[in-house]
Amino acid sequence: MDNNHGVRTAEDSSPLYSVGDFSGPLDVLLSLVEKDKIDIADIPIALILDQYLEYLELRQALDMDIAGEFIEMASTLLLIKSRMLLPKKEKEEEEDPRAELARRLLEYKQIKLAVEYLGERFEMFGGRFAKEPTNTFEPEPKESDVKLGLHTVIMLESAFRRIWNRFGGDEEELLKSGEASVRVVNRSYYPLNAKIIGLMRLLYKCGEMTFEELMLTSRTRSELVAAFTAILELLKAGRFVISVIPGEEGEKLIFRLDLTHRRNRIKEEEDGGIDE
Amino acid sequence: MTSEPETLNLFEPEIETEKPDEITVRKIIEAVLFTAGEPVNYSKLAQAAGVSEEEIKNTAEEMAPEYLDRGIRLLCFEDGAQLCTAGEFAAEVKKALGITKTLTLSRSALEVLAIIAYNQPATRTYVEQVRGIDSGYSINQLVSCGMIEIRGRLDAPGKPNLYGTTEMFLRLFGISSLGELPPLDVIK
Repeated sequence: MDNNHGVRTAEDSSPLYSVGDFSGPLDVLLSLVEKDKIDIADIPIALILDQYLEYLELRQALDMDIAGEFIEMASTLLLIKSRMLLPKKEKEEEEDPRAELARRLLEYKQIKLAVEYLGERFEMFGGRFAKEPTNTFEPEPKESDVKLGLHTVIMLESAFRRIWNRFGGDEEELLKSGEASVRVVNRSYYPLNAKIIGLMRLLYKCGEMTFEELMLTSRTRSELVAAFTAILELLKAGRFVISVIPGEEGEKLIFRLDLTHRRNRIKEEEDGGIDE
Repeated sequence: MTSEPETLNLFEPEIETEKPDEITVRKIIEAVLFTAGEPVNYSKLAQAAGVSEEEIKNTAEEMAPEYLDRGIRLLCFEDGAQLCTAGEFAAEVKKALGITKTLTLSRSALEVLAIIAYNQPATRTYVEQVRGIDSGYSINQLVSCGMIEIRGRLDAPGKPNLYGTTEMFLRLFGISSLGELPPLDVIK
């Protein structure tokens, strides 16, 4: 295969998916067959098996991992070889033990040709950018909405500090309200993913919540850290909108979901390649 | 302009509006496609413009070649049309806008894509059978970048997902319908 697809990537170097330049055992076999211009329907199994094993040994010598599928193919070849050694019964028309392999190789060969074709097409047309839908019907932003910036960081940090200190000061008490075992048992880190999903669901249900309300869904310090990180992540990803309302006890930070955010947007080119 | 109703009858909002002329239809198509970015179904365009779906499709197909000496393209698919940039200027677009990432497809991903394109809807097991190697990673990557999508589930034990290609696949491979893919035994 020529290189003009620009497709040699991380995935190919991953032993799980490919050994060396080959994308699978069929690819290795096909190249062995094609190298010697062998008719796929009449493969000299013994010869190909030897070459195939040689290839695997070479890989092993180079200290490269060999995926299970490669070993499986070796055993398939061995099985075919041994079947071919068995004397044929004269009357019954037995299928050539190589038939199944030949069929698979042919099928794979066609796919390789299709890959070549598609690769060329992708070279030509892969740079076609389409724009995201123009969001004409964005809900009116509120006056109190703030853009993310240094000042939001400072506000968030001080708000976090207030809660953190409260938590630290009488953590015992906060924990007493929960099960007593929480403190002892719950030593593990609270998973961030769970918190992100949890907070999004909560906001989806409630519409708007203050920073305190969001944070105090947590019962441990670890969960508190997860909640704060989750809020930061969601703000960064544009899923949350933050709005500031001045109040008697300082500014109130109010969060809501950005409903204009297209959750399942198809990732476009600039969002990253397939091998990232 | 004849296409604009001169008076608006508030009591009969369903009043027959005069059919827009072809130039207006063309303008409507372009305006909608520009705003959408994504492919828009002919049926939606037809509804909005007040002409038949067939007329929209024909008009769009007539418009497509007119874009060839421009920086954007009008793509006509089976069910809808889309505006996108001309692929040959990807480098310039990226340079101007500071886009550094590129969508690249590994050979494994291309193999999976080829198998699915030609055999859709196809299950992961089928793909792996043809390739002779685990393909879950590539399939997931192709789904997350939008080249393939889950089409449903196969009515078989385990209810495996069925995958098919998307319109994004058609766009990025310069194909307007799957029927345009050359038959496998013809590619040489």
